[in-house]
Amino acid sequence: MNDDVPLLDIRGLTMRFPVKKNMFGRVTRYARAVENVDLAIARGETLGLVGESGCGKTTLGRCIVRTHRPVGGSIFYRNDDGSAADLAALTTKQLRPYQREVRLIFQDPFSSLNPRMTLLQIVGEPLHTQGIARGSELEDRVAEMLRRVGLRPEYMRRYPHAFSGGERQRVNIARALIPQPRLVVADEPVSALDVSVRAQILNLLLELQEELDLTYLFISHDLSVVESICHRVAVMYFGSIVETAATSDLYTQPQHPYTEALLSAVPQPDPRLRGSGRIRLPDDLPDPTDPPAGCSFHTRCPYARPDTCAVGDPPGLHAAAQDHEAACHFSSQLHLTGVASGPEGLAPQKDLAQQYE
Amino acid sequence: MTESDALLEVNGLKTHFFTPDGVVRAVDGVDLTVPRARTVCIVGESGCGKSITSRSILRLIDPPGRIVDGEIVWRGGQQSGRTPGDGAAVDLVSLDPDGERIRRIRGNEISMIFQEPMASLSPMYTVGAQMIETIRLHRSMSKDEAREHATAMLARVGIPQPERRIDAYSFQLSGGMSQRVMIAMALACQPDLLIADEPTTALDVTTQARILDLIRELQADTHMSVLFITHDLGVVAELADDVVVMYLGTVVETGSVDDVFHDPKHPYTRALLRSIPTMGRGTRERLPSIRGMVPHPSQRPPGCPYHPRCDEAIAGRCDQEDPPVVALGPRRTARCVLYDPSGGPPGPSPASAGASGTAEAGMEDTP
Repeated sequence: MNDDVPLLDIRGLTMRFPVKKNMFGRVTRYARAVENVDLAIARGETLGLVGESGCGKTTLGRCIVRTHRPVGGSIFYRNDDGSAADLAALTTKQLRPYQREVRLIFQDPFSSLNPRMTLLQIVGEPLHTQGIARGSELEDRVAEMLRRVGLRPEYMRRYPHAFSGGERQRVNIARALIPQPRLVVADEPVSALDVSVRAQILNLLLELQEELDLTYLFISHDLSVVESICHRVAVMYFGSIVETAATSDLYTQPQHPYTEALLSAVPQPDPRLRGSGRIRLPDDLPDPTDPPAGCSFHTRCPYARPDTCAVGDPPGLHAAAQDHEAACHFSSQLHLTGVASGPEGLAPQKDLAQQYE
Repeated sequence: MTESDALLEVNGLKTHFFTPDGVVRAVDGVDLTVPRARTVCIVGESGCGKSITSRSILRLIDPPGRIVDGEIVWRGGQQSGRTPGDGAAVDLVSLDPDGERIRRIRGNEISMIFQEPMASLSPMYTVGAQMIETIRLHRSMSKDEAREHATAMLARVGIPQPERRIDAYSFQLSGGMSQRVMIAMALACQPDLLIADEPTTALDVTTQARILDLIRELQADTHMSVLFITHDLGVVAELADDVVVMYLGTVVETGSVDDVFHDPKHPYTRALLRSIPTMGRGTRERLPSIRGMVPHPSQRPPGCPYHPRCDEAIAGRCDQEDPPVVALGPRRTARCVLYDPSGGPPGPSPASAGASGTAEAGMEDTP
């Protein structure tokens, strides 16, 4: 098998939502959610997808599992035999075999489990609907899966209300993994969990990946969590990928001003690093129904130059360093600051005061 | 610390909820002190009682909840001499929760901001109307004066075009802007104490960073005290002077921010600090995790509430007796038998238990 071909290859993916219709029911205005995204995920890799709320990271994840049908672009998924299928173009019926191979883990362990179903029903449902197993075989497989995610199989006849947030998230993971998927889209799987439980779930995801040969798309807004679990990271802003690189490269040498600002904004659990001169972005995101011209980040970027950044087409992703892509006109000229490697954390930040207002 | 330095002192506070399924001891013996002009962070996981503690201070506990024991000594309201007769220490627990005195304290001497800025503002009224109502309730001002004051406050918290935004509704503002409005409203009457209950949890990191900057700036300007409640240790490190670590309704450790982060004493604090991913620490490594989970407050284990998850628990001791609160220095306590001078384990050094991963050097009890 050729390992250079990624498991998932997204090309030019675009998703827009209608927000306004005219009197004939024709959509006249769209909100952009995902715009022309190219992204590849290699087999066995964990790719982190980070960005602020509303940047389109969840929509991208949902396009991959096809709970949304994208309006443009393709999602090439490589089958086990080496052939490729474009998930974006498949009909609901054609999609069925892929629904067991590409699975989603939800964010909220409280609202994503049906309170009227037992764990057996919840975790066994994918096997049941796909016709993979029934009866005692189904029970055996559910029991095995529950054991694998660290829950006692005796609990399979209980209802979700009897479990804590961390346990419910384990149920969520069991439901996603029971049909033996190859690709798992984990949408903020630990954001709703307590700090002390979070590490348990992250460790569980790492173990399961090694045991079951999984590929993860790990969606999160928490940059510390992403750094601890991902091989590679893609940064998303306003529907587009603005930077992608190996995790340590992206954190230590960001090439896009947005990445630099995101890294700088994360509060560090060390009082010696208390922020002074950190980069602060203005609050306002652009209106998704009326995207700005030029680079979509220029309205908040501390380095923006109006003559270049605010006009023309948005800059595309290009190689800014080895295996490191960024979508910024000036990535080669800016010397951006990342996180210092090692336990000391952030390096001193430069003074940006004069570049504001 | 002298007595009068403490703006707020909570002693032995117990807030219990009397449900049909039994008594939930949500807050079970909390002691904490908020000094004047300082920021105290309460940190803990969900269910540890941090929000109930803050609500007890403002007497906002609804039945079936009730403060069953303890005192909350409030020494605010002096400088401004707001109402004749104010200024003496008052025990908030003794006040009628619907009475005149507590209503004069709420929003005036002590203000509170909440986690969900969108849910805390009424969508039926403009932000201006809501601010003016608060101001006029506590200050004798005409409507025009109050409006001017509200506009000035909005400008102070960094809202662009405050003259226009004052007539906006909450749904027309972004999350960060709504939280700024909440802060402006909370500060409109120049409170002595601002209680902030997870004010940045629902916000993005970039917005959170700016709100934290704002709170820090305002605190430096106005010399108010801040009681900041959060589960995020990064936010604590960014903001706190003093830290109060809570677990299952009790305070397990207190100290200055440097002491708690660089020389944590309680096994829970140490495990918590180890289990959070820190940027720059490297990728794809297993995090040390705390085993088990926080039990429901109605099923509190006997003895030390943390003992079932603690690696250093002493069988026959931690699971039976309540751990003592040991003073380790000025404003530095740990509630753990490991530090109990009266017998117990051999040597109080946590390093002897082989679990300390943090530097022990420096950082003595200097604030």
